[in-house]
Amino acid sequence: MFSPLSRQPVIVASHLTKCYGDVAAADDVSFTVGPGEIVGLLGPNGAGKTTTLRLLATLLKPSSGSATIAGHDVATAPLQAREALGFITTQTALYPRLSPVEFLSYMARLHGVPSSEVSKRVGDAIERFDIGGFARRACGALSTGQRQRVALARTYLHRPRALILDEPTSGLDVLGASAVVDFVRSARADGLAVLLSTHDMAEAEYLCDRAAIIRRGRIVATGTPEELRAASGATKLVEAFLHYVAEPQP
Amino acid sequence: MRLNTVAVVWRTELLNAVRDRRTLLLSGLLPLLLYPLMGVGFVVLSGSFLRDDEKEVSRVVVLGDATRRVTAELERNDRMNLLENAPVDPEAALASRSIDALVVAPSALDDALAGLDGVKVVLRYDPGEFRSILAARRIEDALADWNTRLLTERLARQRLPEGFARPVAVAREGTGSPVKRAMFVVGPLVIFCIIFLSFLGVFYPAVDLTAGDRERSTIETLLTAPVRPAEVVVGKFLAVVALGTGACIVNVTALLATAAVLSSEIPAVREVLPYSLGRAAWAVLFTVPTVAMFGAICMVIGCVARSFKDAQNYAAPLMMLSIVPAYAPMLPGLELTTTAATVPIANLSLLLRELLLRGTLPWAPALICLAASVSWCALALAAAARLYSHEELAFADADAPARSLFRRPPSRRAVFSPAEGLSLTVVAMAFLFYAGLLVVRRFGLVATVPVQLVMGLGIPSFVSWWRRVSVKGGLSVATASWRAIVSGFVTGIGAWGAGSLLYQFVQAPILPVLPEQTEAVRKLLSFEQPGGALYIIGVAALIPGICEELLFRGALLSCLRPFGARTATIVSALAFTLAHFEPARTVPLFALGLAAAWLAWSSRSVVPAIVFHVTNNTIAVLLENVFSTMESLSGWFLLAALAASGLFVLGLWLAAPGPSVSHAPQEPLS
Repeated sequence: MFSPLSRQPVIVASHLTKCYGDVAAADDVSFTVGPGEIVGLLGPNGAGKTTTLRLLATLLKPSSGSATIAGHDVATAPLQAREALGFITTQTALYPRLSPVEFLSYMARLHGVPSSEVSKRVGDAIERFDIGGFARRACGALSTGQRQRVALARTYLHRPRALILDEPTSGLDVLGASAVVDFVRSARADGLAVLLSTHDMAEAEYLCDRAAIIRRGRIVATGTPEELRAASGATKLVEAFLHYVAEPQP
Repeated sequence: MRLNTVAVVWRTELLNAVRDRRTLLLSGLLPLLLYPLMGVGFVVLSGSFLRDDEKEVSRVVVLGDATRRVTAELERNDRMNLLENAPVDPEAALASRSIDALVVAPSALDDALAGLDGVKVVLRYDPGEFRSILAARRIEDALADWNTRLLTERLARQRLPEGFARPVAVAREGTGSPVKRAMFVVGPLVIFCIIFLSFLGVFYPAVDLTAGDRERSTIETLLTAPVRPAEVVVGKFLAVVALGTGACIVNVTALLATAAVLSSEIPAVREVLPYSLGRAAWAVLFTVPTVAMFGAICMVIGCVARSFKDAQNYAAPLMMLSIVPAYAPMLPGLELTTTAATVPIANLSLLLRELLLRGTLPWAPALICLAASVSWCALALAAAARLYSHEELAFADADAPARSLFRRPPSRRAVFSPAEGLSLTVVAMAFLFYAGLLVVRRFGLVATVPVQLVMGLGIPSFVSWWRRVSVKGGLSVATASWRAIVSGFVTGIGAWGAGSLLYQFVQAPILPVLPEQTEAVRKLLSFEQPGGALYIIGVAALIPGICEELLFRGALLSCLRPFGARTATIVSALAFTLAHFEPARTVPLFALGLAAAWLAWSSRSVVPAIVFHVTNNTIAVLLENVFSTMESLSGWFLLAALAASGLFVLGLWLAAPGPSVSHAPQEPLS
């Protein structure tokens, strides 16, 4: 289904920097995410996670540095980069007056899925994410968990090679969060490169093959959860996280 | 632009917008209810005029020595109630509306009429009261009848023909029926309703499809799909236009259906509202571009706003502004001329008056009206396409600009934000306007010094302190290269030529400066005043040159840098033009504003713009004192203006940045 073309990194951030006036929201950020790999971007509020993810999703233009999605530069070839990308934010970002079927058909068409295939792709997504029970109701009338399932289904429509998820389980109950976690794991199994930001260290420890900890726009540590724990002398990822994001004492 | 992508966006966004109940209510249901209600109002109003004419009794008091004779004449009209007991204070009674008119008959009336003399009967009434106007008309008619009879008697006594005293007689035969008088009141209101309700029909979808996208974060969903922002905006715009067209069709249809129903009861309605399907089609055709323009402007507002509510707040002044030109048909003497056809909204309301109330279609102004609306619409759409995905607006996590302006930011910054720069410019312009009215008009040219200093230095400095913005960075006071300064000087030397030519060939044919204004300026800038040439140059050239540049090119232009050169220079030049409050110099002022903005933009410093402005003002003051007729195109003046324009262009060319100058986003100024 999601077939990686090679073992080359799918998401590449290279010295990525984004400045607002004299404040650097993302400062010289570099990392890669390979196919079939989940990388967590961990950081406190305001650390620059969302800015970094938006830079990679082509929503923001970098002040300096570069990034590629499936080999396409996000600044110079944003349309090609987006074709290879699925992006989900904290907000489910659905049209409240459209039904899931209408919304998914719209997204499929915008992603260039041929008209003859739209119905089939939408049907597959509805089946895979168990949307059938509410597929004809207005999105505005759905529960948070149902909306998140529709949002996940959106990323599945165009068979992306990379997934960027900005706090995808935020505000969800256990069942909703579990559906997201299952989706992320199945995406890894399908060979997608997954970059996700989260506040939930248990979730990060469970899901991520590697993690990058960001503080004040800069990556301060990278590695597998085990490496991060070992390097910081912590027994849990949350302790390692607190170790790295703690402000240096004057 | 891929048309199939635009079509996909259009279809789905239209479906989404149509399901909004507010849209359906405002664009569909409201007109269907309003026009029949207006029809009922129309019937009541025309009935009221009819009743006024036929039944209203006028309460009249006749004073003076010849009361009996005048009263006898007035009593011939059976709708005249001549009060026998005159009030103690008739003037007060008239003012308090207890009587409608007062007639004072002179004492010599009987003697005068017995002979061949004439007398003057005084009629006092209140021109602000309809009943009083009606009474005055009846008294005039009654006295005119009496006058005719007396004249006939005198002519008969002298055995003269009737034409002797009145070689040319006027027989005034009014054709205005009460229905027509009612339409005189209701007609402009009908046109206003068509425009306003059609605007309402696009307002909600335009704002919902833009600001609503931000509020719901669907902008991220759309802009992470492989589509161009322009494709999304055009698709959304077409959905807005489709809804606007629908609203317009519903409005015109409801109006004409109401008129058809009314005309079966009151046949004269067909005379005052010459409806037909053809006219309805033309009305829709000409209304849709203006409605589309309004929709595009609402989309611009929606792109700037953070949420639907924010957009509503920002759009309220726009709705207020649009009301004024939509009332154009109510203004006496305002006709659909070629110039009026270029004024947005007013052109449509005047055209609809021709089409729906007068039953004519003046093709030349109609086509100009169409072209003007399409042009304004294209400009607004281009701005919306630019702003929709602008990251400063689309993905800023901060508060709405209007709200955040009232909180002092925690940290220092190098430049003003766009909201700060625009707000301080508006405040400074308002100050300039009122100070100009109150202070400068009273104390003369010298008062411009404190006014300019407050506008260009005081207000920006205060705002930079309050907003923790460096004064130097906020006002773009930075070292400029010698090349930039020289280009400012050269452009300033030649600017008078370009300004004169633009005035003569573009501005004057549309709206020229009045001779009295020219004379007033000449007197104001005369070197013969106390203080002499240096004083005048200092006050009229140096101080405004520095202060206006610090505001318009320093604060305003620099805060608009994130929007690119075109937007920043145009907005800055527009604000500069508006701040002068001189409609008859719009074109040259705008051109000079653009030139100054380009000099500041290309050098990233306000200094070359100040050099340009001061040089230009100095030359203008010198020319005012040297030549008596600046407007003259004769002889060498035209050649000199052409040569100066060459210098103007050369200066702007010199200002163009070389390949070494970076156009990367502005770095913080240290």
